[in-house]
Amino acid sequence: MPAAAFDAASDGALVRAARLGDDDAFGEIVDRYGPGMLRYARRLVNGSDADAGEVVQEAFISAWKSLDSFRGESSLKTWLIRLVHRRAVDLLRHRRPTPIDDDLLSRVVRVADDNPLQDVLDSELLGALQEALDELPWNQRSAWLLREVEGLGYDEIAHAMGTTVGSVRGHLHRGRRQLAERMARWR
Amino acid sequence: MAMSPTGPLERATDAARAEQPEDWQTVSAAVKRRVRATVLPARQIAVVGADGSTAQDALGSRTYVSSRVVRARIREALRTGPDLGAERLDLTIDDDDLLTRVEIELVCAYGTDVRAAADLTRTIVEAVVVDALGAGTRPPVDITVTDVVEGDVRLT
Repeated sequence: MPAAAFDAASDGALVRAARLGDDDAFGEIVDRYGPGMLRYARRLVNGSDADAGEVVQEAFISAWKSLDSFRGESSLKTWLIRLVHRRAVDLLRHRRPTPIDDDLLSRVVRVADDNPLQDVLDSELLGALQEALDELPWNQRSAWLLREVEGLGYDEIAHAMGTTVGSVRGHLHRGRRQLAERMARWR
Repeated sequence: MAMSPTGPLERATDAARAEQPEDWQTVSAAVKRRVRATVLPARQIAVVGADGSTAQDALGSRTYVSSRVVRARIREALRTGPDLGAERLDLTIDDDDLLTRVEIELVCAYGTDVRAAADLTRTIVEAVVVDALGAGTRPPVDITVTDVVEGDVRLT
């Protein structure tokens, strides 16, 4: 089957073909979900292009080798995001100390008290968002990104992060509050 | 009418959602290169002549074909129509490097006669195996129909 013919294939059909070793089918999976995975990885690993690229590459190689373990219990997108999440967290843990205690970090996050220009470019806002995200513990950062940017449901986020829906709700609540405080200076 | 976001966090979130990674093509190409270079587990399978011998000449020379090649050929042969497609494919190879069994999990389109689909699959697989591994390779081919889907099995 020509690679172009996979454009219209469902995730299930792509997984079936890729499981049997069809790298064109896997290539379609890469292009279908890779941009979102790269966007998520970049925001999660402190905005580093090189780290995000490495994380996404490793996640896809892992997916290619372990497609047999994908049983359809989650969507393909969620399964891939889970692989990205694991590799990103591994990288962050090995690179530098990461706050584990959310309450401890919450005391460190500064509350915005200045008032810069109101009309800011998207790029500046995104830079500010990245700085704010960098100050969150990775579990709050991850939950917020998956919910607000990637549009995953709570159960999907829980699956991707390997945690419970209740924990996701807690991470999201704290993450939203911290980000709103940090970004308020741009008002 | 949709409300436009007014808060800085909401505006930044919208910008983040709309962001398309500029370096995606580079990352995509790197992923695909690495996938093609990743050697998945495979075994060699001996070619067997019509007389049942693995010797290809008077000296006893043998010819082997990688299980990766056989799998790819079966996969392609089974993807010719909308009614059936392989979901899993297992090759059993014994200690003498002979293919002793083929097991296939099959997905069929709704309305397909599943027994006829299994028979057709078996015929296709036998032809591929004989072509790739010689007339003396005639392993049993076990078919399990595991799912039925609506529409073209190559797309749904």
